[in-house]
Amino acid sequence: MADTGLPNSAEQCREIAQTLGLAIPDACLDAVLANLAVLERHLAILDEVGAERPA
Amino acid sequence: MSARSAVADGFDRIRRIDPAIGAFTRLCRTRAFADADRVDRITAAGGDAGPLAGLPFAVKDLFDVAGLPTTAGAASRAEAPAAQVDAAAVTRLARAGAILVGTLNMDELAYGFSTENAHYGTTRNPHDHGRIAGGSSGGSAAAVAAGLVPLALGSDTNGSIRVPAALCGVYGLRPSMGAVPLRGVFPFVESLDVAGPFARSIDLLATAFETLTASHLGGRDGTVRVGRLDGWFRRNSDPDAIAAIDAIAVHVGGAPLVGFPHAEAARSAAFLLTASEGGHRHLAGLRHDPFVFDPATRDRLIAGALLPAEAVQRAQAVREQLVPRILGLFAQHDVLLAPATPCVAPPIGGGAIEIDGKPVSARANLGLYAQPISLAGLPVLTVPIRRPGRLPLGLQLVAAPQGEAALFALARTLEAAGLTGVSEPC
Repeated sequence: MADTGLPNSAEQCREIAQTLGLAIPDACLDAVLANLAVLERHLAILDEVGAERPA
Repeated sequence: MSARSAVADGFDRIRRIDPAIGAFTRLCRTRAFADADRVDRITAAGGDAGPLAGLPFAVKDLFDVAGLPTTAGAASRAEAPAAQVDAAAVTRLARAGAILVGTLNMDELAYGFSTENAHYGTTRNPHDHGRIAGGSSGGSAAAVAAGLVPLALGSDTNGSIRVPAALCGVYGLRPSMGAVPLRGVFPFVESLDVAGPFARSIDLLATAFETLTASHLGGRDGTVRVGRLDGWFRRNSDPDAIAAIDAIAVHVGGAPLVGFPHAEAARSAAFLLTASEGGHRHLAGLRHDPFVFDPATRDRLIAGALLPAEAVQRAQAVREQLVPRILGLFAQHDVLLAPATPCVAPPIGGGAIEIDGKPVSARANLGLYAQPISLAGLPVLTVPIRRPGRLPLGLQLVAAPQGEAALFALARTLEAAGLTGVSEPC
């Protein structure tokens, strides 16, 4: 797992999706990972506010 | 002109013009003529059919319309049970005499800024058919810009009224949170969603707002104190939008530059909350059949569903931290000015716009100036910069919650001065 806690590999995506009852089709994986990378960048931007991470 | 004639003329315009635009998804001919005849009967008897008597309007295809399934732009909902009653906003307009003529195209499930819908087609910009109309209420903005209807309803979570209004060159209002009832509106992100009108004139937009909110704007005493949002809102913007804002500052006798606290982080918080709530809202559909979704929507929804709870909590914490500071800006200002979009409408299928020198998805990023404002639930009136013969650009006039009277007061001043106003498509 990355520092942000977001999945950053196909295996991690599948693992988390499984806990949600979701099977990610192979054809979608690259695009899902690309979208997760965008979300990870947005998550990093939140740090500028100095929000405390919940314990 | 009778209501029946107005409706007949409207359908004729839609028949002639809409095939090149693709704004409408369905027409309500039988209902429209029945409603028009009712209005005409009231008027003929000397009665008052309402402030919008005989005015045709259309709604984004996420408002319930009795007798039709509410598709929300999704193929998976095409066979959904028909709505039993109209959405509350539709009812309010109809009771004021307006006549529903049809439903309008949108990004699937309201998740996008382009109205390039894999199932219902692309809505084209009336000013240049090779360009997008913006989204997600692209059908609403395009229908009004093309003169197919004088009034339309849309919804705005992260900019879905403001972006298409700006790119199509019409007025669009994101009202204060909760001002327009959302009963019968297909939800996206409940803590950010609002419904609001599009129109070609500020007067009609004001009448629609009063009707939708069952309120009266009234007059407004005193000068409107105006500020210009700085930093994030002047970076990456089309220079013409900045020039228009600076010209307004001169016109109103000065408008200081105002810092918006952590605008980029506010936008990121809205982006993350949207991704997570959107993903979880549609999880059941993604489990059932992911391939029934528009691929561009599906892959964003799946990614959002995979966001860990900690990430969502951080976004919520940033929201709670920033909103009081954002509201504090209105101690010194009644209206803040900002561009609505970073650029004019991008080409259809182009996919990318340039932000900080890098290409990014237009579908996901055209709202970069709208999203920080959504996070605080502020009302925003999008006005078209007056620039005949050129592609439209719009500005956001932003007020404190329930500050719509100041927005309309300033918008009327700017229109009277010739700084803003609707231009006909070339």
